[in-house]
Amino acid sequence: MGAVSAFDAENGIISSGLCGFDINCGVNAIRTNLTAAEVRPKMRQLVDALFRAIPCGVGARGKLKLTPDQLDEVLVKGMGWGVKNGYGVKEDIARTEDNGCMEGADPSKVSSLAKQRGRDQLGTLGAGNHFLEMQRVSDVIDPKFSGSLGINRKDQVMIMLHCGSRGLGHQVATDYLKSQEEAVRKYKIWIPDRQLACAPANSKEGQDFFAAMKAATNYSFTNRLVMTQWIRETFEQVFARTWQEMDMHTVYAICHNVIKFEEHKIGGEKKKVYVHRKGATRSFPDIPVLIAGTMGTASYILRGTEAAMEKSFGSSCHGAGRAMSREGAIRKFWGGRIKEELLKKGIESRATNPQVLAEEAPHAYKDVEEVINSVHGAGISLKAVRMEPIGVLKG
Amino acid sequence: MSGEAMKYKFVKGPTSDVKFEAYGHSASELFENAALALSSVMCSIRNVKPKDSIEVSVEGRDMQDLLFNWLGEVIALVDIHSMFFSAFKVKINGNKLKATCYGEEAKPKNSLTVVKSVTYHDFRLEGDDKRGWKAAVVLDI
Repeated sequence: MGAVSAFDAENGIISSGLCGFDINCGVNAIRTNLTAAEVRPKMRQLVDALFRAIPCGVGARGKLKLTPDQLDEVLVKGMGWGVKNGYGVKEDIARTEDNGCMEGADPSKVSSLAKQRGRDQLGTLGAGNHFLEMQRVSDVIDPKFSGSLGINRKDQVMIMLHCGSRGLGHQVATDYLKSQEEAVRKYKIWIPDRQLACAPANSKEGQDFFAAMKAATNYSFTNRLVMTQWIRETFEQVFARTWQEMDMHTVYAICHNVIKFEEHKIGGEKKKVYVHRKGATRSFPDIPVLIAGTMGTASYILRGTEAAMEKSFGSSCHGAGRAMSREGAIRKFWGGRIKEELLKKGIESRATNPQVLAEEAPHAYKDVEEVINSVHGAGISLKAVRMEPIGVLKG
Repeated sequence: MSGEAMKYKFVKGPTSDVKFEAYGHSASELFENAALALSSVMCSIRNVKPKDSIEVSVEGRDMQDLLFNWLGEVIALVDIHSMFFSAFKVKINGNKLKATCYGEEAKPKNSLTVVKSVTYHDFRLEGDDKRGWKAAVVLDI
């Protein structure tokens, strides 16, 4: 469920529950200069190679084993650590929200349990609604803006990576949900639902969480960057060209579940606030907004707007959103059949377990077109590029 | 109703989350069944052999807090040991518990959905040893 809320920097609160458990679950969009006609004949080989290169699934360990000091460096420096260690390039950093690093992250505020969970998971996709997708541009709606992102023509192949901060981020959110539940009692805050646990913005409980959340955000930025590099290397193997020759640059990378300290105009007055974007995407004027569809449906790149600054604290939606529960989807769909249906639509898919395809069946989600039309109509982000999936990897 | 259905069942909850109810004659049994329900969301429990085991101790402020922490511990164990679990033995003593979790290495073919956390939304634990125990849990997936 998506929600955007903003709280006064002095008298407001910071809430772990309103941030979401998968801190900086987010999306990276990577372009290529390949066409769908070039990629389709090799799609099966490509999807298989990517499935080998990127560890997927619950409890999956990555190929990187970080020492405690290295992990702390990831938590503080984010993508800067990645580039220093051969994952990605400086241009990736420049095309990421917050330049791939939230300043002020404090690893000492991250529990040892969270670090234990995160140590072996850097460079892993996870499972559930996370995915790696190859897409073809189906419509260039705003040629000027998309051209500035290096997206110029129909049938250009794009890559979309949707993933988060893995067990480390989940544990940070859970740890602070618990400490903030105590803070609610300590500071006598009334909340309608225990899951909305929070702490005064300037309290120790509030600021400790903010510093730990930033660390998890940086971990997630780095996680997606590491996988971006492995995606590039896999394309190099399959297409026998360098990734630079294939123009595989990051178009943009955004966060979903995150809290930001920002200035917004409220009642005609500029105010400093903690904006909580849970299942929502930042939408700042002329900055890309990436909206992931589902396995069988379109994804979009939109352009952030001034209207979003006035109406929604500079925020837009984050995806289609579920229309059917996981249990409902399992009862209604069968993974093998979904795979066949996707293939009929020209989409090659791989999942660790067929049931995952049933859980994530396209019909289990809302119609992405309706969702996009709604944010476009409200003016909080405007359609720029529509993309359709041609290859999908699910955890 | 089958034996499995008596241990736990999935019920209607928030669309994007998973909600289950777990039952037990004793609190320990309920804790075991709740862990099994949780585990069945993360992996195909019937394909996970209980050949290795991990022992854990968990504490809570009260019984409800103990259940929250116990389920959180099971989620963390999957990542830390890269294991899936298909059986649990729990012994509760006051607001503390000792448990043995049985399972095997996390094979991708047995992987289902990442459970991000147990939530406080509609989180309930009620009962006693005379009437039996019941819990309602919403998982963020």
